[in-house]
Amino acid sequence: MIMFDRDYQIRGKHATYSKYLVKHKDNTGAPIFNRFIDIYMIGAIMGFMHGKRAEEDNTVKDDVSILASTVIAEKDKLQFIYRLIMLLDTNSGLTLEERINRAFRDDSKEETIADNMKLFHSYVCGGIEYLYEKFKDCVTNDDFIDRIYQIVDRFKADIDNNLYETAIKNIIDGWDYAYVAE
Amino acid sequence: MLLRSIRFKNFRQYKGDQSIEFSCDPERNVTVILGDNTSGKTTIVQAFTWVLYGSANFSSEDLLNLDVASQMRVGDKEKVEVDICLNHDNTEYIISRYEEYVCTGNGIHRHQFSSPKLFYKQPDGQLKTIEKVDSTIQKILPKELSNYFFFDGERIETISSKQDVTEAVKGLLGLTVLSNAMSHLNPRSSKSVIGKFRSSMDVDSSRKAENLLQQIESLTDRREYIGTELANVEDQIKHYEGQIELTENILREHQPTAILQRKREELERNIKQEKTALEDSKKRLFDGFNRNAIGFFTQPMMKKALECLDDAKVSDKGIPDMNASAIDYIIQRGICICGEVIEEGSSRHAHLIKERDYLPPQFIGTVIRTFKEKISMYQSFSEPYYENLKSSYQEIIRCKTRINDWDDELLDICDRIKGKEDVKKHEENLQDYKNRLRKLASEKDKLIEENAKLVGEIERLQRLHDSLAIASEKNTRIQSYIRYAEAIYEWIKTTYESRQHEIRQQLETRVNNIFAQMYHGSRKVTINEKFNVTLLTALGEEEIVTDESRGLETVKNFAFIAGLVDLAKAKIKEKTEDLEKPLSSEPYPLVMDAPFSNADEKHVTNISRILPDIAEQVIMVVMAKDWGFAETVMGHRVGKKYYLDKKSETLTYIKESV
Repeated sequence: MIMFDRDYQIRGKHATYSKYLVKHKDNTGAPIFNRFIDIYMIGAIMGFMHGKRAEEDNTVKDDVSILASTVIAEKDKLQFIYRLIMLLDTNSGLTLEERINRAFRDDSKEETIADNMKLFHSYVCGGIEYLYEKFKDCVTNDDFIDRIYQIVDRFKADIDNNLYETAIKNIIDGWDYAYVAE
Repeated sequence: MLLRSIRFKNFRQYKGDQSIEFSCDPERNVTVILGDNTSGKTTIVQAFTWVLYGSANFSSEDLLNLDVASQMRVGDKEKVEVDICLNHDNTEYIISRYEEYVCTGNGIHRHQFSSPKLFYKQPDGQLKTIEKVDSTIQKILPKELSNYFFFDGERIETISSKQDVTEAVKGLLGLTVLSNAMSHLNPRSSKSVIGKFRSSMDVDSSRKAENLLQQIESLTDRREYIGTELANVEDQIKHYEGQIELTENILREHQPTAILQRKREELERNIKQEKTALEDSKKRLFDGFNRNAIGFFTQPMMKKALECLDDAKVSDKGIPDMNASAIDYIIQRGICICGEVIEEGSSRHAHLIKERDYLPPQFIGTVIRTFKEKISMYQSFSEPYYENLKSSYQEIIRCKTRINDWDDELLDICDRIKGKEDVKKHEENLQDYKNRLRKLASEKDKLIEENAKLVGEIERLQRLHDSLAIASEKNTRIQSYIRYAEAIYEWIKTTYESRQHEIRQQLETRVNNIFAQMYHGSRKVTINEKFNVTLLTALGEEEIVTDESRGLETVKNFAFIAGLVDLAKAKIKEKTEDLEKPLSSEPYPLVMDAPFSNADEKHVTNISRILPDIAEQVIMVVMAKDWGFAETVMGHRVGKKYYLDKKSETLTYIKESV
C-alpha cells in the first residue's frame, strides 16, 4: 500500500479548527485530543458517519503538519479507517464489487489512489468541521467534559437504536444525506 | 691605710737586709727618698706591687741581688724577700712574699716562689695568719687602683684611663658594704639569700595546690553559673505552667467554637482531597475519550462493512502473507522454490498462474480476512469504552456535588465562628507550651545532675588541696621572707645607686678643685660612671675632649688620686661623726716614684703644696734635682727622709738623712 507513509498537511480553517481542538504542550487549549493525528483519524470517521465532506480550505492562511514518522506509526489504524470508508462510500456511484476493489485491490494503483485519498481527505475536513461545531462554544474544562460525554452518550444511544446503521444503509443505498446526530 | 715600713732582703740592688720606716706622723706625713738615676728608686715602688700583687715592672724576672747570686756555689740556695708592714682599719698587717733561688751546674734558677703571706697582729702582739690572702689584699688596696697609689711618674702611660676602676673606687669610697649586701640578697642569684629561700620552697606542692585552687575556683564558677541557670529554668517552668493553665481555661470556655473550627479544618481537608480526585477523574475521562475512540466511533461502519463483504462472498484460498508479485518473480527466473524448471506452457507454469489469482492484488481474500480480524479486534476494544467514560463522567459529577455540599457547609461554619476567638491558635500555643515545658524539665534535670557532680568534685579537690596545705603554709611563709628580702634589696639598691651617684659627683667636684689648684687654665675634669677621668677644654660655650700632654696627664692623675684620697679621708670623718651611715673608708697613702719628672716647676710647686694636705701619708722617691722645687713648699711636712747610696750597679744602700 503506497499511502500513509509521508507528511500530511491540514490547511486553512481546518488547521485553525484542529489547533482549537488539540491540547497544547503548555496544557492550554481544548483538552479533547492529544495529537493532530488523532483529530485526523477521528475527523475521517466523524465526517463519514455524519455524511460531511469538505474541500481543502484556502480562505485562511494556516496549516498544521503531521510528520511522516507519526503517520507511519499510526499507519495500521489509518489504513483500517481508509478501507472502511472506501468500502462504504457510494458517492462515486460504484457497485459493491467496485467498492471492494477500491478498498482492497487498488492499494498499489497510483492512478486511483490519488482520487481515493482526495475522497478520504474530504471526509477528514468534513469531520474536523463537525468536531469544531460540536465544541466551539466550550470555554471551561467542564464545558468540554460535558460535551464529550454528551457526544459519546448520544452516539451510544444512537447505535443502540440502530440509527447509524439505518443511516449507513441509506448512504450505501445512494442517499445523499442520511442522518446527522445532533 | 698607712704604710709603716718596708723590708728588703737581697731584692735586686738592695743586698742583705735593708728597710725603710715611713712617717706616720699626721703633721709631717711626707717620707722622701732621694736618689739619682739608676740608684734603685723605681725598685722601691715596684717592691710594693710585687709584694701585694705578685707583679713588678722589671725587664729581668730575676730579683735576686746579682752580688749574692755571683757568690753562690752549686747547691746553694738564697732567698729574695720583701715585707710590708701597714695599718689598716686599726689593725696592723704584715704582708710578705719571697722567692728562693738555687745554683745548679747550669746557673742560678728560681727554685721556689711563694704566694704572699699575710698576718695580722692580735691585741696581745701575737701574729695570726690570714688564709684568704688575695681577697684581703684586694680589700685593703685594690689592684686596679695600685697605679694611682703607687704612682710612677716616669711610666705615666701605664695608667690607662680606660681601665675599669669602678669596683676599686667603690671599695675605697666605702660602697662595698652596700655592694656586698646587695650581692648577699641578689634576687637574680641562686646562691643569694633570696635564691636560697626560693630553692627551699616546695614549689611542686605549691604549684599543685595552686592548680587545685584554680580548678576549685573554675568549678565553683561553673556551679554559680548552674545555680543562675537553674533559677532561670525554674522561672521559665513556672511561667509556662501558668500559660498552660491559662490557655486550657480559654480552650474550655471556647469548646463549641473549637468543635466548629475542627469541623472547618476537616471540611477544608476533605475539599482539598476531593479536588484532587476530581482532577484525576477529568484526566481519566480525557484519556479514555482518546484511547480506542476509533473502535467506538466506527462500530456502525464495521458492522456494515462485514455485511458488505459477506454479500460479496470472496473466497479465501490464497497463501497467507504472499502476493502476486512473488509468483511473477518465480515465473520470471524460471526455477521454482522447489528447484523444478518452469517453462511457459508447462503444467507447472499454468499451476503457478492459477495460484497467483488467489493472491493479492488480483486475489483479495487474504486482505479481507486480515481486515475482518481487525474489525473483530476494534469491536472488542469498543466494548468497555463507553462504560469507562461514563464511569469517569459520573465520578466527576459526584466529586463536584460533594465539593459543592462541603463548600456550603464550610461557608455556614465560617459564618458561625466569625469574630470568635481563634481557638486553633490557642491550641497551637498550648502544644508549644507543653513542648517547651518538657524541654525545660529535661534541662532542669541535667542542671541538677551536673550540680551534684560538681559538688562532689569540688569536695574531692578541696580534700586534695587541704592535704597540700602544710607545704603550702611553709611556702607562704618563705614567700613572705622573700618579699621582705626583696624589699630590703630594693632599699639598699636605691641607696647604693643614689650614694654612688652622689660620690661620683663629690669625687668630680673634689678632683676639679684639686685640678684647679694644680693647673691654671680653662680645663676641667669629668668622671663617668666607670670612674674614668677625662679632661675637657672649654671652647667657646662647648667643652671638648682634647689631647693630653704627658705633663698634663700627670697633673690630671695627681688630681684624680688626690681627689680620691681626699674623699676617702672625708668619708672617715663622716663615719666617725655619724655611726649609722653604712659606709666605711680608709685614708690612703700615696707612694710616688719620680712624680715630677714630666711636670714643670710651677706644677711641681702646686702639686707639692696640695698633696700633704690631701693624702694621709705621702711617700716620694724623687731625684735630688726635682726635690729642690718641692722642698720649698713641702719641706716642713717631711717626717722621714732617706737617700739611696749607690755603691755599684748591683749594690745600693738605703740611708736615712738626719
